[in-house]
Amino acid sequence: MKQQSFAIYLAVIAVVVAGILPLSARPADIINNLCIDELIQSPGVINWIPVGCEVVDCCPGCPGAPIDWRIRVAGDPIESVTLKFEDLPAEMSGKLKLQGNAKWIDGSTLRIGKGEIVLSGFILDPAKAVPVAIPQLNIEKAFADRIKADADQNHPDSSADLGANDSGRVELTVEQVMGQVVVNESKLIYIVSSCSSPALPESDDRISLTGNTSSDNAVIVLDARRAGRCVKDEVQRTTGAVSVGSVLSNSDCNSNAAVFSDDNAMAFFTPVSVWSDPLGDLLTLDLAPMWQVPTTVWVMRGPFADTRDRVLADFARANQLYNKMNCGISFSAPVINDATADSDTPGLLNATCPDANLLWKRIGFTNGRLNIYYLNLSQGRGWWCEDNTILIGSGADNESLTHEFGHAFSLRHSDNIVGIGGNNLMIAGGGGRNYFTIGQCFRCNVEHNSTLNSNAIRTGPKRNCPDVNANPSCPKLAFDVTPR
Amino acid sequence: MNGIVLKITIVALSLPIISCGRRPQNGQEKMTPVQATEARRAIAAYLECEECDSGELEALVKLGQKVAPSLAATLRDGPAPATRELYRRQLLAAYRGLKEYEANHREAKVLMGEEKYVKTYLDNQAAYHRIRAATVLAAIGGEVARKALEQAQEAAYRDDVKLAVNAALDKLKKR
Repeated sequence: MKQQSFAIYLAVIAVVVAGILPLSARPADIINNLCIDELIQSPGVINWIPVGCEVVDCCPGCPGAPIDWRIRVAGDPIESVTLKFEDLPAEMSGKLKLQGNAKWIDGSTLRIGKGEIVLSGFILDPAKAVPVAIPQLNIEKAFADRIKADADQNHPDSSADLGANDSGRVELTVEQVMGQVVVNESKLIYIVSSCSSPALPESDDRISLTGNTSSDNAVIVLDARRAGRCVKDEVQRTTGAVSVGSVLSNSDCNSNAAVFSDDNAMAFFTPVSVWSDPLGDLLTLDLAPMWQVPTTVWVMRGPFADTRDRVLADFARANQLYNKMNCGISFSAPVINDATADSDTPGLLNATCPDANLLWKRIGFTNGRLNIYYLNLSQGRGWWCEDNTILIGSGADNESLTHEFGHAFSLRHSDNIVGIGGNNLMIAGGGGRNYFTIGQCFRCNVEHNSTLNSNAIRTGPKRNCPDVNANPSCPKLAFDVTPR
Repeated sequence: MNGIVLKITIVALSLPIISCGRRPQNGQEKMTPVQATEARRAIAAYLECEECDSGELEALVKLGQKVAPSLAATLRDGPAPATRELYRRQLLAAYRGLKEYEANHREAKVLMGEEKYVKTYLDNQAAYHRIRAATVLAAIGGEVARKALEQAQEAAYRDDVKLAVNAALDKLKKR
């Protein structure tokens, strides 16, 4: 027995010794939340998988061999996945070898069934366009029928857990390997939901929205009491008014309503006191225009006209994302100052957060607003320095400013948080970041430390909701609703 | 049972010895496929880090000379074609979405045309990869790093890249 223990101990030590390198985490999965009707009617292009290595020499000491794709398809909702290749030369597709449950539909379209397949023999010509695969899901009819039926029967008064059966998950994993080394990898997660609510009688309790600027299908997140239980983060959708079944008097339950809508501020009503036990209660929620965040930009990196255009493009992207994701925040026209000719600029072009004092004194600073400095910043693409100060570097991507605004609104990095994808705007790097969760939008608005509150831009109830907080009065950070 | 465990032990213990004993022609230390995959992930994470305050640089410095040739290649050639193509398509989609959004939201007006929008951020990506590569090469040091930085000093890169390369060479000289 002792001998065996010693052998196991030795084996563990050996494996540790053999692991010369520290393990680096896999890239985060890309999460796509989809409505089944939209998916069937107009699937659209939402992801791309280019053929080739992620880094320029593929990997340290890579063999330089052809690239093979190991593709895995999994999930109940689908019958198959189609990969439509663009810019795949005909002579190459003819030479690719296929193993597993897959079939070429034509010279550039591959249909893959569930399971694992290998597509081998990609040899890339650097003089030609990079071939790119565009995935499309082929949904099982039985799943589509079931999910719609579940949605119709999913009455809010039911004791079943809402959402337990109304979504399905598809995983598409593509590992590109050279020899035995994985030189690029994509894991795409598709969460497919019904996105429709059952139509309930108007004699039920109801919620009515006023001031819904763009009459969009707003998201209402409800905490309340129903028969025999407190409900938390129950989702209702409406453009104007919706029946919600029977909501009972609050008793010991939290009773709140948060509304997330395009072109309106996030509205948070707490406590809600209109609910009584009989049916027929009406909760009217007034929506206000989006919060306007005042900003001042200091352009230090020239030429001024080029950087100004980039500033406006960055702001446009931030406006679009904070609105379309229903955070209800807008960045009114920034005051843009040309500091390129300032005599202090050359000495501060590579300033970092510890230099913020110098930036304020020598370049400029406006109190009570977010001040954004466009400079070189070799230490990163962007930084939130606290104290209303953001730095944007010359290598920033088109979502860096949106990301730094997220920090200004109290959000932290969302890497390694279950349920949040690598395309989330608060991921600490990468590209193609394009969404906030409803849980993040909630925090941007109500968290005490958000500059919306500390700069007195927003009025309304506040909460102590740090990202990792399991506070029962805050939705989870990954809490999200589709569509928006 | 003991026999199997002992066999695993012998094989595992011998891996580093075998690895150290073989050097490819370019002088780069040989890695196992798993190690090469992990090294590639570490490089990619560092080249596109936002604040770079999550240990991305330190992870590469720890790998040292094993990753120096990859970083030298990045400094010379910029992002890999597949990485660049993915970002180009993401930018195109973002731009077209912005133009749709702009139609009903005047505050979100984009002055740049599509081509300039895509080029601006692709150029930033290329510059950023080179700046990051220069920075970590200075931290790793050695002959591969020095040569790569000296060659980069002669190349016609953007001013921010040149500044980073010069700063990296200064740092290297002070080591």
